[in-house]
Formats: sequence, structure tokens, C-alpha cells
Amino acid sequence: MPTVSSPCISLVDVSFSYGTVPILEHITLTIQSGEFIGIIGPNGGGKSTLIKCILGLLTPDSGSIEIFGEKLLTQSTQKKIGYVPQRSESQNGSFPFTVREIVDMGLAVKSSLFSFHHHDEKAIHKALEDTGMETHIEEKMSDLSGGQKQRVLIARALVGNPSILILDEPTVGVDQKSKHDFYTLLKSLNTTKKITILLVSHDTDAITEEVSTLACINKALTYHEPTKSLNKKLMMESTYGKYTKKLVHDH
Amino acid sequence: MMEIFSYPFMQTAFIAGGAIALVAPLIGSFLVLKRYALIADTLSHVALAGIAVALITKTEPLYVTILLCIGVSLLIEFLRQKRGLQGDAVLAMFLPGGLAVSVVLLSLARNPGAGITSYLFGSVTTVSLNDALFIVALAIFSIITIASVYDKLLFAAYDEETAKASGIQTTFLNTLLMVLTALAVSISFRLVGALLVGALMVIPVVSSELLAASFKQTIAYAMMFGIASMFLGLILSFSVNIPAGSTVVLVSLLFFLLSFLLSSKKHVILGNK
Repeated sequence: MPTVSSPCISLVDVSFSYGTVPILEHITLTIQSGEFIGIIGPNGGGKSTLIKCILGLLTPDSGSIEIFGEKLLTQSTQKKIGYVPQRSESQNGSFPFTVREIVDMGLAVKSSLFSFHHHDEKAIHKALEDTGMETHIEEKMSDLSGGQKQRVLIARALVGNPSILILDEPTVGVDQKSKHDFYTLLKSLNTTKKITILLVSHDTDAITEEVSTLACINKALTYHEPTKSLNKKLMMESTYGKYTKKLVHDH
Repeated sequence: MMEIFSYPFMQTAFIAGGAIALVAPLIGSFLVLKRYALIADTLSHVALAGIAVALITKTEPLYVTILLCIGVSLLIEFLRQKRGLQGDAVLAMFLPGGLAVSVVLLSLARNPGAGITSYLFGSVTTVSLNDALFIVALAIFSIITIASVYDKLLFAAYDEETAKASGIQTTFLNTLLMVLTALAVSISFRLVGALLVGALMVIPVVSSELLAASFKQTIAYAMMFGIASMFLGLILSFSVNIPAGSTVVLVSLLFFLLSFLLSSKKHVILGNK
């Protein structure tokens, strides 16, 4: 297990709403360097909103977020975070991109705005080697399986050498075998490279077995404990309580 | 055949056309990637309004169109990014809006000039040597600008959210792309025609997308298709005496058909998707 030391992400009393609809309510959560934390919760519970706030894509209505002790997300702190998004329609999957081109995008932030790109072939190979995708470097993204595509996106996040890796529902649409390999890869990155990993998922069973700390969000932070002292009943009731009752009732 | 190059107006058309054929598919590659291809058509209809204003006020259409297209492109980006309006809806609003303004202005003008058709569908004779040099200068400026932000622009066009989270200035880059699109539309309308310029930004890109193995290859093939369509189109237009813009667009559609057949053959042989 990696050594857990200083806090790298601190949220204090963070609230966020879309218009008048509250999404996050008074979230206080500290993520330590070297942690492998899983964030779970029901659909619409605010998991993705929470990481968008951490990434600076959304601004909380109140409360504060610190990344490595810095309150404002600057380009230097952003460089310390690697982000793997949920596979979404925003990415034009039909366009021909090689694996090399996708990973190379992760180096774009290394140079200033109007400066010609410094292509770092060595860093690209290293990131692909770390994710087990080096032999696919010349292949087209559209020819890869769902699990392989996610590994390439992790390589893109890793190529900038981040300290924190944030993943939003990375295993959606990925088969069971690839999911298992995927979690093994994340554990390896966490233990060997000492990367702090924040994994958002709705896959409760899988995530409770893979991560070292579990946080549950359903607007508020309903549960936050190391998985070795996991009280699954308490966690499920505090997070999914009403929802579970409703399902039982409906069926 | 070679006599075509002895006419000064054709030499000018080839110079301007070559510059447009390189820069339009280059910008178009990023627009198609962003699923924002309709912006070219929208701005070309806004360019029509600029032409109408220029014809009425007896000013230079190229400069009026550049100013209007840049202004509207910035307004579109503002409505999309700051006001959260859907991109396609905003474009679908400005496209007929530009056409409506130009039709109203031209109908109000007593003598808008006989050359309106050449602005709509393109004409080799309306491009002066000074225009051609201005077009070449703007094309070089656009190509150098894109080359200097290539990696960031690509990241922002492919996956805007992750690029933004990584510290890429996506708002600035989106605005820059809109301004460059506005410039490309403005410099192209005289030769290709305001109603046809959008095709030159999109068709070569879609044709090359079918054959390319990478994004860089997509750009390279698109520029080659652009140049080939432009030069063949100009030669055909001169030889058969038909409008230049329409001929260029038809030739580029033929290249698309060729690419489609080639890619289908490749997929059958390799058993790919």
C-alpha cells in the first residue's frame, strides 16, 4: 500500500445547485496523497458534479476547494491532475485518430499557447507502456475495444506525469473481463507510481472491492470510510436507503 | 489547354484559389471534428448580408464582409458559451437571418449592382490581383496561427471538457477558430460564391476522413482534395464557360464519391467496419 501522507484535495462545506435544484449540499471531504478513493452514489446524486467542481469546470455556490493547498485552480495545479472522462458523445469517435495522436493531446498543456508543439515520443511510449497499450500505438482509436479505448485515455492522462488521476465512470460499456483488468491497472498505478486516484462509479459491488477508501454522495456526503472497515449495510442505507425501499416496494 | 494560364484573370484566380483551397479544408478539419460544420454555411449567409451592405454603401465587399463575419462569429460564440444556447440552434438562427437581411437590403436598394449573382455563385473575373494578394496574406496568417496552436486546438476540438480541465484555454481557442472561419469565408466568397463556400470547408474533409489513418493525414488529404478540386474546377469552368464556384464544388463532390468507393473497397478487402 502507498504511504498516505498530506492532503492533496480538500473540500470544505461545498454546495452547488443548478438553478434552484440543489445538487451538492455542504460536502466536506479530504483526500490524502496516495489514496485510492472511490466515490459512489445514485444517479443524479452529484458524483460527476463533485469532480467537475474539483476540476474547476464548475464553480461551487459556497464552500472552498483546495488542491495541494492552493485555493484557486491554476495551470500549475491543473497539470498535476490527469482526468479521464466518461466516454461521451462530445468525442467524435468516427474521426480517424491514432493512439499516438490521442496520447499526444495530453502533452498540449506543457507548452504555452502560441508555441509550436514539443512532441515527446519517449513520454508517449512510457504512458502507453504503463497502460499496456504500447503495441497499439499506430492503431486507429476506432479499431480498439471499449476497454482498450479507456486505457488509451488513461495513457493520455498519465503522459503529463500527474500526481492525481480522476476518472469519471470509466467502466461504462466495458465488459466484465476488461473491467477486472482495468481495476488491476488502477491499483498498479496507485501502488507503484504513488498516484492518488479518485474513481467515480455507480458500480457499487466492484468499487467496494477495489478501492482503499469509499465515499458516498447523495447530494450530501453520506459515508466516508476506509474499505477495510466498511460497513456495507450502513453505507447502503445512508446512501441508497429510500431508493432501495422504493425498488422493493415497486417489485 | 495551356492558354488558360496566359490570361491574367485566370492567373489571379489560381493564386487566390490555391490559397483558399489550402486554408478552407485546414479550418474545416477542426470544424467537422467539433461537429460544427454548419458554421461555415451560416457565416457564408452572413457574408451575403455584408455584400448587400457593401453594394448599397458602395464600399469594398471584402472588408465589410470580414468585419461582419467576425462580429457575428463572436456573437455566436458568446451565445453558445456564455448564454448556454445550443450551438446548432444558434447556427440555424443566424443562417436564414443572414439571408433575410441580405434579401431585404438588396430589395430596398434601387440599383444594387448587376454583379450580385457572381457574389452568390462565384466568379473568376471579380478577383483582382490586389484581392488575390490579400487572400494569400490572410491564408498564410491563418495557417501559421493554426500551426502555432495546433496541439491545443486539436485537444479542445476533440474533447473540450478534458482539455479545459487540463488547463487548455478552450474559450479563447473556440473564439480563435470562429474568427479564422469568418476570415476564410470572407476571402473565399468572391471566387467560390457566398452560397458555396461552406462546401469547400467540409466536402474535402469528409472525403479525406474516409481514407485517412490519422488526423494529420486527414488534414493533408483534405488539403490535397481542396487543391485538386479548386484547380480542376477552375480549368473546367474556363473550358466549358460555367460558374467557377459551382464547378469547384461539383468536382469536390466527385472526389468524395471516389473516396467513398475506395474506402468501401478497402473495407471489403480488409473486412473492417
